[in-house]
Amino acid sequence: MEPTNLTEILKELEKINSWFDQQQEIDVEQGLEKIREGIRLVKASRIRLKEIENEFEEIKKELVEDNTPLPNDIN
Amino acid sequence: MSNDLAQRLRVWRQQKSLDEKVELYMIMQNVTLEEIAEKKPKTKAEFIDIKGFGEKKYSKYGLEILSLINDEWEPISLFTPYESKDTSEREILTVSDFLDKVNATLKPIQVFVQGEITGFKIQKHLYFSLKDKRDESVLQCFMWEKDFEMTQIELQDGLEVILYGYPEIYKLSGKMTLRVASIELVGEGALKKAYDALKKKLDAEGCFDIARKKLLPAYPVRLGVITSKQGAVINDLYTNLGKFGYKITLYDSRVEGALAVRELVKAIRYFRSKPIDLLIVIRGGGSLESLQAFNNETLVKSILDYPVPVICGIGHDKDVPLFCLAADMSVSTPTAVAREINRTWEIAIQRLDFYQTHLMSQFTNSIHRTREISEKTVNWSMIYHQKLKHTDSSLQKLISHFLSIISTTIRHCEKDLKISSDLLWKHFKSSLETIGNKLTQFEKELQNNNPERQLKLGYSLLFSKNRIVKSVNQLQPNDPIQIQLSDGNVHAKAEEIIKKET
Repeated sequence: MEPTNLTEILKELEKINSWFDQQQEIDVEQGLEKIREGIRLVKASRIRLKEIENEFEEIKKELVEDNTPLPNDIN
Repeated sequence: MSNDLAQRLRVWRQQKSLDEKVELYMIMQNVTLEEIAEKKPKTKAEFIDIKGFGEKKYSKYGLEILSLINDEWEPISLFTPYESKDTSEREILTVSDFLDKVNATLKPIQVFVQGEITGFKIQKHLYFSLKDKRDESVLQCFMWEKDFEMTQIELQDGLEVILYGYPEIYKLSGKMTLRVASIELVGEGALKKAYDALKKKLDAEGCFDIARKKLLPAYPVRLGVITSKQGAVINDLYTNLGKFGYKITLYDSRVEGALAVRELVKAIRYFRSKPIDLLIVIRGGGSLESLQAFNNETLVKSILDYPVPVICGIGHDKDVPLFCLAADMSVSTPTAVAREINRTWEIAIQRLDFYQTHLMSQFTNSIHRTREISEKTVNWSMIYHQKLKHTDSSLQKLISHFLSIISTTIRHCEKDLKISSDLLWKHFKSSLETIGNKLTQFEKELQNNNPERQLKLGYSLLFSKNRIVKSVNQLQPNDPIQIQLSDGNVHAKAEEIIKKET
């Protein structure tokens, strides 16, 4: 199943990396397949990261707008 | 003194007393009677000269007494001589009719007889004889039970008594008996004994209990008075009662003698239903014997639970009449009674004077007091106002101080919040950056690991029997080999194997 959660994706990428490290004999075809998969995951991650960043900026903006200053003195 | 004349006068007096239904002394006192017997007056002047024999008595009895003195008076009307009567005019009576006639004649002879009781017995009604101590004369006596109940004397043989009644012939035996209406004890000793016994009895019954006593009304107006009209005491009462608008109802009753009890009880019953505030019973002083009526059980009980208070003013020696003990208040003279009744009125009048005198000064005082109080109140309220003002300003200070603390705290909170939110942004941002860096790292490594890239750089892969060849030891000369390049494969032959010198 294709992971959508950023943390899950990162884990997947980690797995791919370690796969390469463990390999005594690299099957070019298989390695190529792994690379392609990795590249795809990195791209998806960047998109998701950008989305999160945007969302975060949105929330921050909302909070600043809400935060009307309190009166200095009740009198 | 002529004893004969004195005797005749006594007989005459007895008859008069019966005719006029008054006591003997009301006709003539003993001293007067004896003086007439001695002086034998002939003229009006001589009569009036005698003590106790005034103008009135002369016009009433003068001629009769004169005929007595002259020995001309016939006490009993003589019957007409038998011979003068015509046979046809004779009235022949039966025994019964005759006795009725005799009894009718005897009935007005109402007398007091003194003697000693003998053969006393009660067979529903009372039967006894009265014996004369001097000559043993005997009188048969009969008394109705209801009359005896009124008397309340414990009768026994040997008791000396005075009976009041009239003679009657008992038709079935033809004997004369005295029909007794009332009995009085004779002699202080017997009276005292009877008094003590009754006192003890009534006391045990609670007749004299303090709890029974009613207070005199505060301002009595309607007074019921029971006494003898002829006595002096009524005048004493009238003289001493103040002018407080009393409305007095007088009931004339005998206060001494055999008939007194009956009349007093009747008088007390009469007032029971009359609109009075107070009942007064008065009588002049007397010995135990003369006050005997007031030691009668029926009379005493007649004022128990009486609708209005009963005050009695009866002069007495050592022994207080039992009636007085049972009364709500008892004093010894009519004058004292008047004083008691006046008392509250007099106090009221004194109070009125007092009120009149002190009303103005009281009023002035109260105005003064009110002014003082209001001045004090004004002073107090001013002081209080000052205090309030002071309190108010310190309170305001306190409040503003409190508010400033609150706002400072809020500002601090705000600042903290800002810092923590900034930190939050920073941390999050850095974590995002870390992820981004990691991704770059991954990308780089992936690039490094990409075999295509190596091939493009000019490296190639050597396969023998479908396995990557990493050492010359894997090959024999003339073995078929395959070479993979970036854009295709080369099939060749290992012509010579040169092992690297180590």
